[in-house]
Amino acid sequence: MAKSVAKIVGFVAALVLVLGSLAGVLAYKNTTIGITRALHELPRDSVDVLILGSSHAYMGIDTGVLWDDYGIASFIYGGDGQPLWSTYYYLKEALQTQHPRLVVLEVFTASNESDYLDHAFTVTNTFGEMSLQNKLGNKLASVEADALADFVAEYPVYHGRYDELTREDFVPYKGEKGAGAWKGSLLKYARHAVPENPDVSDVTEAKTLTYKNGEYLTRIIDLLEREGIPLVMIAAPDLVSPEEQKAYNAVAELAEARGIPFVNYNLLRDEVGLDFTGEDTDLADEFGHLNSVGAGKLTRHLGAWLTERYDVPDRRGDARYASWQADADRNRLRAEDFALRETDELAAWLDRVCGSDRFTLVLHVGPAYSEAALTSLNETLAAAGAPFGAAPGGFTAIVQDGQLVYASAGEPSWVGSVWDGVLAVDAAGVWFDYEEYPFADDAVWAFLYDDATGELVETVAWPEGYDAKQASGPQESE
Amino acid sequence: MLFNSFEFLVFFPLVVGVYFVIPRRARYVWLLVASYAFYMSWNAKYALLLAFSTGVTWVSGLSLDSVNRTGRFFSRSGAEADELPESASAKRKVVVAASLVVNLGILAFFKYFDFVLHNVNVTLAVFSVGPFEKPFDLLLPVGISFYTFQALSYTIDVYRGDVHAERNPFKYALFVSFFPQLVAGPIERSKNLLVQVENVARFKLWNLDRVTRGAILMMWGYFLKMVIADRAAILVNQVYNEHWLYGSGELTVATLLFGVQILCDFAGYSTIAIGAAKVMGFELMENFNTPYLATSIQDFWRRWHISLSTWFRDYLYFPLGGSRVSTPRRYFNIMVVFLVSGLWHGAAWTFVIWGFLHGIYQVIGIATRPAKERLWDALKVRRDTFSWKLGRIVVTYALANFAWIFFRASSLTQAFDVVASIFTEWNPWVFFDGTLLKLGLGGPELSILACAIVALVLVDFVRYCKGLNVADFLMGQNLWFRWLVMLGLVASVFVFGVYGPDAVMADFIYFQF
Repeated sequence: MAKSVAKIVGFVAALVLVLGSLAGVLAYKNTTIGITRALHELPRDSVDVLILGSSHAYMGIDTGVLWDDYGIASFIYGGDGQPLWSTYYYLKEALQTQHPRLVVLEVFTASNESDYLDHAFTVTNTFGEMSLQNKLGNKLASVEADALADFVAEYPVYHGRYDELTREDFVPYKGEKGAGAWKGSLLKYARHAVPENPDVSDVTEAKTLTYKNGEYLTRIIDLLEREGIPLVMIAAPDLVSPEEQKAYNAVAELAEARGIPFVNYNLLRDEVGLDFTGEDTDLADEFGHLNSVGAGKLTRHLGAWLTERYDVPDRRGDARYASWQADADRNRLRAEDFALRETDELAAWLDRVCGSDRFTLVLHVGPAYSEAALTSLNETLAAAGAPFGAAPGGFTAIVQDGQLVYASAGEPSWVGSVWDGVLAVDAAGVWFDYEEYPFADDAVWAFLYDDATGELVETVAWPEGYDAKQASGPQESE
Repeated sequence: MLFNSFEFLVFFPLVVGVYFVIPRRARYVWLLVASYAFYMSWNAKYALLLAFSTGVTWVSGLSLDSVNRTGRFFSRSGAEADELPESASAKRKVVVAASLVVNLGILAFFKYFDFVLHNVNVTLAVFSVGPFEKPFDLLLPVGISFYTFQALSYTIDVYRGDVHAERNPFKYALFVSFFPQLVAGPIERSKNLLVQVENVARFKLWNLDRVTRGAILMMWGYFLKMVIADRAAILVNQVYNEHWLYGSGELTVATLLFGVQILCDFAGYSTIAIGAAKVMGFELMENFNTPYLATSIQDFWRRWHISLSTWFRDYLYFPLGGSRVSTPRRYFNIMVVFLVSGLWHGAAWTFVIWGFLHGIYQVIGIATRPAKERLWDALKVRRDTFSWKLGRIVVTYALANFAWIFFRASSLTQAFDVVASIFTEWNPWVFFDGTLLKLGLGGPELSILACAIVALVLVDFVRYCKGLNVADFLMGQNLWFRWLVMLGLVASVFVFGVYGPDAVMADFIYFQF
């Protein structure tokens, strides 16, 4: 009997270990789920401004700018397409460990017409780390009855991810350098222009919110009233449609009735300085999200608006808030990398790169590059302060931490490392993170990695005779 | 609830947990309650039908038994039965006929009403007579084909004096409704399952070896169904749903994969049923025994859906005379059995043709046997070799798969179109140019399916060569290997099983029967 019991216990233990390990690998770990973990890692009662909402919140507001410009310790606790019912449970969860001075609620999803979202959105908004009570409440509100069992158990939803596993599924949260300091902004570094800016200033009608949206918006308001925490509601600027504006008008009516400020940034685009047209568009994509530049503008306006009306302390210089400084530094550096990617001309590009010691630069001049062009290139390199000059017949130079670590004419051969792992250079090109980046024979070719952010900035080439870069690598980061 | 549902994952441990601890005498009551709860999870109303069918066959069993006892008519002991008086004999025939008519009538009504009406309307249309409207919508009660046959087998067994009637109505009801095999078999016999139900209070439940074997069978069944069958269904459905887009290559692959799908779907279900029953101490009959390693169609039917084929053998073929009749009559008997079998599978001409094909395969096989023997002798073909056996297996496999075209097709037109395309739209390049990766299953999915099929083939070869099913084989191995395989099976189903809110899970195919 004892032997049988031991066998059963042993097998069950092994089974739990195996399935638990598999679940750990297969579970979703994307960043909007990761924000729930980030909240629980914050020091208790450290957040002064808690921001809730959808992707328009975490893409449109830069926590780094709120810190840099106003010293505001903010945290964006949002989710992709997050419906108001999930926002309510996110708020409840946040209030277990935080008592912010102020809550900002971005209300894009108040315009949702359906009571249940696509399962992809339900995953991102209900699969994060939460207390059991809030997690169950969130799932009950978010999932239809016939799918509830699957979403409560979670593994039926993610078990099939075996064909999309990445390193981050096996190595906990190594995905991004400085992720530990992350305060919820997920800025987009891209430009997407539209022919004209949307104008909904003449839409005054208010449509009735769905019963579910109205119910949970009221619950959020009531909860914060009980907690004695002021609430500000905002509509982030986007490619707003008349129907969305009607929903915002309904929110405005509710806010007025409850004495809550509501700022509709779709009506303040000019005041904020946003423009969705032309080369310098502040829009990142066709979904209406702001890019990092646009987010900076919105955030500065929002920060000024908040500090004029509320007593939000300036935490700059406070050692307890070092992670907010790290978050701001990271966002700033990534913005600089974005500006670098938008720098077309080789001389200006080299100027920016050589002026900083945070990059790993692999510069390759192809063997077909003419001597005349090489002379001009060397003048440009010298003017930028590069610690090397190019030789004819093919040349490769590698710079790390502002120091030249390798320079060679002919076929290069070098192995080094960056934060992400091994970096290898040979005659064919650069090998990094399981991908090969081939050299160009008749161009100045560059591989640029930012050691401070732990990200590949871009791989780019200037063919002989071309002033503008021919990009060949990543052009935007999340 | 389906076996591969979250609800069953909760239901089964709960039922087994209570079953193991309640007083022995209450075990059959608990199982009866659980079985009806299981059936009612589909549609509570049809439990009344199940109960009615159970009641009719129970009463008829008692009635037959009382006549048998009067005339001391028993053949179980093997002793010669006493002759019954004529009136008793007539009464027995009336009772069994009534039971057959009522139960088969119910089955026929639910299953064939729409089919008959459709064909009547098609015929009338030839004479420009307006169609009869369907007066109501009929939903086929889940499992009706299975439990009806199971209940009727009891009636006939009592009629023949093979078994006594079961006097306890609840035990009899459990025999008919036993949840592991209620909705898709194996179709059990009273001599096997009812005897066990009668003795359930005497089962020694706490036996780790038996429970482990049952659990292994369940795991293997889930693997067959969720990793192989449901995955193969994705490709099969894509190709068959738009068959006109595809040529010989794709249609052949889809047909072969349908053969894999239906085997793994049905054998998977049966294996889960057998395993679940074994956990609870019951031994159900084997329903599949490496059918694709059969060396003839006759052999195929000794290995495929064994419970149904033996049912037809014992209750239709033998009463018709079996093979102890003239040759033409024997052929007639075979065709009748397989046409009825085809109809049993579904109310559509495609199933009739499928049954017809299996019947005609056997008739031709029997009819040409002497000529084939002379031919092999003349050609000095050795029939005791591996190559001979392999050839026969391949030919049988091809014949079975050809017939599957009709089983899978949604209409006769589609079936004939598929056949025509397979034999005329020759396109072997699809096996090399990446076309097969665009049939609903990408590279990784096809690789998983291929590996899973290899595992199936290995298990089948062990069964074929050593006569051991997967549970018996593993229990004969060392603990570390056994655990490795068991953990691997569970992990495979966990990771590669087709389930979840957005997975397109194929229904158990035989639920539609």
